[in-house]
Amino acid sequence: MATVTVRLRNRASGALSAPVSAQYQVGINHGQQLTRTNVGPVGTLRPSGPVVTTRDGQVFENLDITGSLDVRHNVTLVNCQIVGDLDVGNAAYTIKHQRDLGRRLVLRNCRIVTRSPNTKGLVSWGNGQTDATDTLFLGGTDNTYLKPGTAPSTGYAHTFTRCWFGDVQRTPGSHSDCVQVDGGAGGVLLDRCSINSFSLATGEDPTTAEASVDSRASGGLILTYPSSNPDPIRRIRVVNSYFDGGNYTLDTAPPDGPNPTDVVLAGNTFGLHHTYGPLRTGPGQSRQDNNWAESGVTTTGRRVVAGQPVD
Amino acid sequence: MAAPTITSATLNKSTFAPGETMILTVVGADADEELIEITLTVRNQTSGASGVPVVVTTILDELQAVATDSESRTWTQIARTGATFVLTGIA
Repeated sequence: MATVTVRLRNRASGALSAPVSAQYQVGINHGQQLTRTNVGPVGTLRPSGPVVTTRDGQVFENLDITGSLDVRHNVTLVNCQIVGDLDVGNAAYTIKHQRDLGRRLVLRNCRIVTRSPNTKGLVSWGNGQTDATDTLFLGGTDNTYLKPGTAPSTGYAHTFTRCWFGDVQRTPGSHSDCVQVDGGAGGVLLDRCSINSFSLATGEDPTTAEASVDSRASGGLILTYPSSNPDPIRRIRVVNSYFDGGNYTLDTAPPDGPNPTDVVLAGNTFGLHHTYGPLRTGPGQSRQDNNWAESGVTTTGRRVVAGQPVD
Repeated sequence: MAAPTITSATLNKSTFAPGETMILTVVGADADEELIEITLTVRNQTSGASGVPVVVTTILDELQAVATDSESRTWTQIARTGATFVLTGIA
């Protein structure tokens, strides 16, 4: 709730009236309003080959990078596109944080396109940090795959603000998610994002095709654990975002490890498509004001009304 | 010297969409404020003929509405009619 306080002031004498206040609210700007075209780069981009960072403070601007970005320093990309190679193998991530360097990647108005169902988009398994705003993540078996290591002194290891996720790719038996957090306590924040957990048909290229809502992927945001090293997950905050698709669209209850703690899911809206349900959470996790984005019948046959809680 | 007084301050809505224009209507007065009238007549000294008098009004010690906002939004007075002041801000 915001407050505006007004006074009348005599211009000549400077005398002021007693203050009078009025309260008001400004609605939430959910990620539902994001599309594939209203975030990401604009204008003409200069072609570039794969990029391996060489020093801290590098800023890459207006580049159309073919291949990948290897993050070895604290760097910033502004108004850039990275398009991964077709049909590359598992380790050919489109953006790779080197495991224990603890570098910070800033993305502003970028488009990250992974073109192989065998690999992933943004991968950080360790102490890397990401601050992405107004950025698209398309394609790959996962748009993003994170195991946040050491938490920064303030904030979260990985922050996504007004980012669009979707058009994931599948191979037979694959588990394809928009955002997968596979253990780790460094924290992930999604704020006003749009998470569309739908997959392309086999062989389709995310540079030219768009996923149908009839083709659900595995998860929108999902918390999991690697069997070899189930570091407890902490500090997951998902707010004011739009979710649709997947099995559980937003799933913070991994069955294969400890219950994630310090989890806040608030102000999110959900579309009608899912295999099991819109939301699955663990004990003690905070759920507030998570509502249906639209009225209708869900894919599990439930009649719902926009604005009503998804619980 | 009297202090101005506000009798009401009302927003046009209680909830706004982001980017929407908010309208705050304030009603108030100040005893020190004076509305004065100036009458102007043009007269030709040679012929003695006079034009039609023109009357203009203005305010001495004029009031203005000033607002502060808990979320740092800017409010601007855009109009005044008598004792009613209108301010707008962007949600």
